[in-house]
Amino acid sequence: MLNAPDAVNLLTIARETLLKTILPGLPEEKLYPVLMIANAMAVAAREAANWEGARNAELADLKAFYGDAEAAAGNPDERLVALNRRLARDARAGRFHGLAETRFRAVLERQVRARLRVSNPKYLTSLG
Amino acid sequence: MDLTQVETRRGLESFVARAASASSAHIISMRRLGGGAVSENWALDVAIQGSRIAGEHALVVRGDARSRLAESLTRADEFAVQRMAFLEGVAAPEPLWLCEDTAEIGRPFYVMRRATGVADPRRLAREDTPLAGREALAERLGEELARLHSIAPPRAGLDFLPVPGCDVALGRVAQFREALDALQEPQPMLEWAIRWLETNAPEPGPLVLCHRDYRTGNYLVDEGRLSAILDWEFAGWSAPCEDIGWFCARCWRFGAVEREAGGIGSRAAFYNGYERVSGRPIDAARVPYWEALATVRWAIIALQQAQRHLSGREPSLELALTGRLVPELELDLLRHIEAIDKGARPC
Repeated sequence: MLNAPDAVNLLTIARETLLKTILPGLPEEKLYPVLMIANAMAVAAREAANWEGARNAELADLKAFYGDAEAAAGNPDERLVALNRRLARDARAGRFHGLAETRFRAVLERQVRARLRVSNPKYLTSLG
Repeated sequence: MDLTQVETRRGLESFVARAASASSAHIISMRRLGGGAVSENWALDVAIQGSRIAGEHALVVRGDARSRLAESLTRADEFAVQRMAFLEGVAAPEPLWLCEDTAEIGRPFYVMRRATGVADPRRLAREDTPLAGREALAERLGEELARLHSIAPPRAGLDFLPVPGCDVALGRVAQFREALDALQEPQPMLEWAIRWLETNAPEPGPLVLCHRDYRTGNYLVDEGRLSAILDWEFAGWSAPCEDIGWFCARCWRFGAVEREAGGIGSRAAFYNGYERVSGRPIDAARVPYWEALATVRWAIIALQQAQRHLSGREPSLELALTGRLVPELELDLLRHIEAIDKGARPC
């Protein structure tokens, strides 16, 4: 179903309007809430643009990391939560050593970078 | 706590009059102060009559916000800690009167003298202060922290503060896991960092009175000089390095990452001030561990703040966005811990 303009487009233009037409006339005490609103809209727009791709990439990464049948059960959203729960449990128990630990840290870094691309891409570029 | 309500104002005026043994107290002006997700602060100018402290006073009323964090002290306990710090010569605003009777203004509160200055951490980290001013400020903050850390258990008047039963770092590890278990989403990255904190925990050392939120944003700077250390509600017995690590952690530098002491000055200046007053060297090699612990602690608090919003009890955009800070802290952690493991000095 075509539903244009889509969520990303609406959020982007709404944010631009907020920043261009509302922000300049505001008293100082209202700047902070408006900048928070603009930030929330930017995060939501980035998430809406690619949530499915990001979810599938994370799922594929976790499946490859575990590489067993348990990693493949359920619908994608449930699987993602289940795999992250397993990862968290294994991390707490200290199950990864040596090469497995290196691979595990790489999975974590990819997860964190993917989340930062949504919530604060500037932080990623500032770190290089 | 809404001091704009006539009844609340009257309750407060009659409390101040009684506490000051005055014939009357009149609120001349008041305004809500910013900050404080777990407490509410109001600046008051009060005229007191018929008392040995008759005259106009610049005060702050500090009361509970709508909800509290589990680890924060009660107002009465915070009052006692702040008073102890003040009496030991730490630059805390002088706490004057405590009111635990909720009949007065609806919540427990206390009244303290009002210090002047800027607390906004972004402004302080960005402010174009000359280097000497920054270094002097960092040094002074080190001195104040050492003065606070001279208070050790057991201490009459602070017996309500629990003395950690095992070593502090492992105690925190247990608390962090308990906090994560209470949240719905799994947190593999934080679990990994907590495991690292567990396996790399330092030998237990002496306990001192720690502020436990000693960072840029929680002190006032007036014309380049420290005027007061605020927000005592997380204070407790802990390892001195917990406060030092919290102050220096990258996540509390507000973008000025190269100024390793709270985004305002050099680590060396902060350490110098601390060591001069305490007479003890800081175990500099251990501080990066406590910075990792600080980052985990802040990430968990951020998740809890987001949960306050998500639960529907306290809808708030600020709390919601705090939850989205967590990946920054996680990337900091990953890099910081990797640097420590490689034997490099993290910054």
